[in-house]
Amino acid sequence: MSIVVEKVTKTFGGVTALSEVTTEIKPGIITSLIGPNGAGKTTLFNVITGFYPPTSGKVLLDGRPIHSLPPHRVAALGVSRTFQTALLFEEMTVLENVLVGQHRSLAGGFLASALGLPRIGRMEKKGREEAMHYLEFVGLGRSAESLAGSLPYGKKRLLEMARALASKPRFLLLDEPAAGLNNEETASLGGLITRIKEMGVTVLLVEHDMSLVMDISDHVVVLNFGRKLAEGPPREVRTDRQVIEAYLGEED
Amino acid sequence: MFEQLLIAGVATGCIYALLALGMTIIFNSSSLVNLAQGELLMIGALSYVSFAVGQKLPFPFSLPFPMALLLAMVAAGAVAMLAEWLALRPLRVANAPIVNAIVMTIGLSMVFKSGGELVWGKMPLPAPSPVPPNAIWMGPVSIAPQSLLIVVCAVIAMLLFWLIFEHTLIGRALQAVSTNRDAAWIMGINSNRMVLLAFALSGALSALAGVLVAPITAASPTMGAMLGLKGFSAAIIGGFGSLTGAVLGGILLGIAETLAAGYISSAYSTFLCFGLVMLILFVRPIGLMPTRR
Amino acid sequence: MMYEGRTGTLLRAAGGLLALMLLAAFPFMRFNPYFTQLMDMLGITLLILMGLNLIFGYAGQISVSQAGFFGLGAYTASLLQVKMGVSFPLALLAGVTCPALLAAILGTPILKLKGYYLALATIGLGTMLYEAMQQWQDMTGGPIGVFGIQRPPILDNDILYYYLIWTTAVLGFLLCRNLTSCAFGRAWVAIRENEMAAAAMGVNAAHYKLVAFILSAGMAGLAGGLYAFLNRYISPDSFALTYSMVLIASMIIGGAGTLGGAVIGTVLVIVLPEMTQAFADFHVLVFGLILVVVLRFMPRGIWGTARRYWAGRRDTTRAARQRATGSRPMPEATP
Repeated sequence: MSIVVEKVTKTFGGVTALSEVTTEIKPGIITSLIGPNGAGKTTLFNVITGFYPPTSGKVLLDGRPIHSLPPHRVAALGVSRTFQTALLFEEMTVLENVLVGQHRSLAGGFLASALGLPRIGRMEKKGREEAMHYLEFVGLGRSAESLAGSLPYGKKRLLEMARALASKPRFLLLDEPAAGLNNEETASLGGLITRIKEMGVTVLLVEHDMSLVMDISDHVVVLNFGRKLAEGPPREVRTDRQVIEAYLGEED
Repeated sequence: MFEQLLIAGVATGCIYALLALGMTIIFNSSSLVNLAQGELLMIGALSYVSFAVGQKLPFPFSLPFPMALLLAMVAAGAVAMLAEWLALRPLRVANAPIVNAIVMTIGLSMVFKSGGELVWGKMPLPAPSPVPPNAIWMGPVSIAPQSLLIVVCAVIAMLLFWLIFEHTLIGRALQAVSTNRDAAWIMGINSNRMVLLAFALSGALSALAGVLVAPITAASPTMGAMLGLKGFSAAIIGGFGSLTGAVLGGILLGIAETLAAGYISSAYSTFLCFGLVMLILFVRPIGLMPTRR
Repeated sequence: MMYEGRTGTLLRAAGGLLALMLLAAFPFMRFNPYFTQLMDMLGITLLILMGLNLIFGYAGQISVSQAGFFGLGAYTASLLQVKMGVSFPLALLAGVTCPALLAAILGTPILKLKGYYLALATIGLGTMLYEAMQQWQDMTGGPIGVFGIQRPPILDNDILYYYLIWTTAVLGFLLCRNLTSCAFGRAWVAIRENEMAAAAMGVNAAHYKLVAFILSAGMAGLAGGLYAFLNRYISPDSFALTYSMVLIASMIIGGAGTLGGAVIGTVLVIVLPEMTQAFADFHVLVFGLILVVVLRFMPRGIWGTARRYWAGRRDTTRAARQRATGSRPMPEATP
């Protein structure tokens, strides 16, 4: 029921982005991945979700190796993610974006779709109702028919989360969800992520905002220069010598 | 036979190299692939015919080769700059998706080609050459003087271009914009003007290619389409974005195509050429000399 | 969609019914062989453009090989009939299958490419097909083309053939409409807008791109077969690269990625050459100019821009209504 990262190394040409990183993302809790800029956090995300194959090492989901699967297969196994810059489908409506999140359950088979069978229409209707629920969950209910590209930045990030949630993932990976948000928005984001955990979704988040991390995380993993520096409950990690040194001057 | 084909292949290759070079210059400075490059060659060739022989012009022109060539290069360069300024710059400034830019150059190629038909008519026009048409014999091999002219002019042009690029201030500025537009801007280089310059140079090089090839193939509004595509293919074979790659790719493509035409079948030379291109795209699209980008 | 909900569906159904009735009545309204030929070509071109719309408009993959597939379908169907006496329905079927198969085989490596590499690969494919039509004289007759294509006796009646073409075109339209209004259509647009995000949501991009490519080739091939039997003669001239470019241009001008855009584009492709008889390729010049202007000022095309305008109007009225009834707060003063 967990994601195990086993001695994952990732090199790009001469640069080592990750070096023998080993950790376990335990189910049902919020794990935060922190570290100075360039530590390899997003790279690790990309390896877990299949966007980069690891140079060596393994990623296991429920004991099965997933590191050589393409991203859409990893997603089909219940691992959803957001991106550092909200990657939305700008020319689609907000609702349609969420519907893409539900793609796995809404994809109806070529012949049935081509013939326009009533079963497809029923699936679509149900899908739209469900999508509205997700939008309301993140607070975007009223923007359903707006073009995704026309949303202000904060709402775009919320939409991305709604879309990721719509795929009913077991694991939700959030890449810097608080970036660019003010204090009030960050606090509300913290509440949202906690509610997501209460729904039974395991959350892994990359974050720079320390107050958010310390506030909502159950477990923290620290990376620096591609290596795992420390991991443990937030209180332990924040007082760890090496972590403090790595962050000297960076904590806000 | 082989040497014969080789020489012809090198000459053809020089034409492709000039086109590929032109496309690479444009790409490096504005991240845009100019699918209308062949049409710039065509404009150069037809303008040259007009200036050299007075075709389709209201007054009798009969200029010697160097003058007609120069004017043709200026004409094509001007058209290229106009196209950049009016049609392409707005897309670049608005950060339009790349598909739009590709299609825009397709649109421009359509305009240029039909525009050419409007001005010069559909019939191919014979183009004069400063060298005699009779083949020269060097040992067992006969060489067409036009082929020699092509190679010589192409080499001179490439050398001149290299000199400008590496050893003048404006050439360095062009390099800067190609490498990092924002950094160049900070240093006071106006990237818009550099892009215009890139287009002008590119147009001039293509016009030269047109003038060199026209005496062999005759100048017509449709001459640019296939040559342009082959120039593009050459740039990709050599590694798109690399200037040396463009030249290498051009020569290699010219040789490969001529040899295939000679040994396998000349009717199917275009078919085989594109077959090769597609194979390369499937297997190693980054080409022979991967760019530093 | 201009109107939502029940009104919208009703309006659209009414509009569709009206169009169908007009189409059905056409041969009896104005039976003039010239106009019938025009309408025939309209139906055939609609098939080609709707196919192109799927791969290029929706999925965003630039495909400049549509004319090649069109020609492949035409030649397959006609050569089978003329040289081997294959019956019309089977020949037509072959005309669909052959390009579709080619697309299925070559599609996977081709669609791995992006942007201008993809453009060049599809240009290459279209050119190779054209060159085969021109050079393989033993098989295709070369530049002379294929003569003496025969329709089955019933279909020698031009009115009946008109109905055949338009039934096929309408069925094709319905197919596209069904696919684009469900998960398929969304998957395609998602791939176009952001392939990475689409993959992260479980969309197998390679699969969906291939499906669109095969469909576009099949529809073009079907159009080709119908075209061959319409004129009873084909030659390579109709299938050159320029035509692929004209198709792309009209797709963009009409509005890529919208069904209405495909229709507008089709009308443009057929009507423009008729209106600009000045000289043979003058319409290409006009197409090119319109394309340049459209890309510069309204890149979403005629239909796309119109839809956006209506959607914007609808959003503003809805927002105003919500503010008036208190269900939406007034915009705050910016901090």
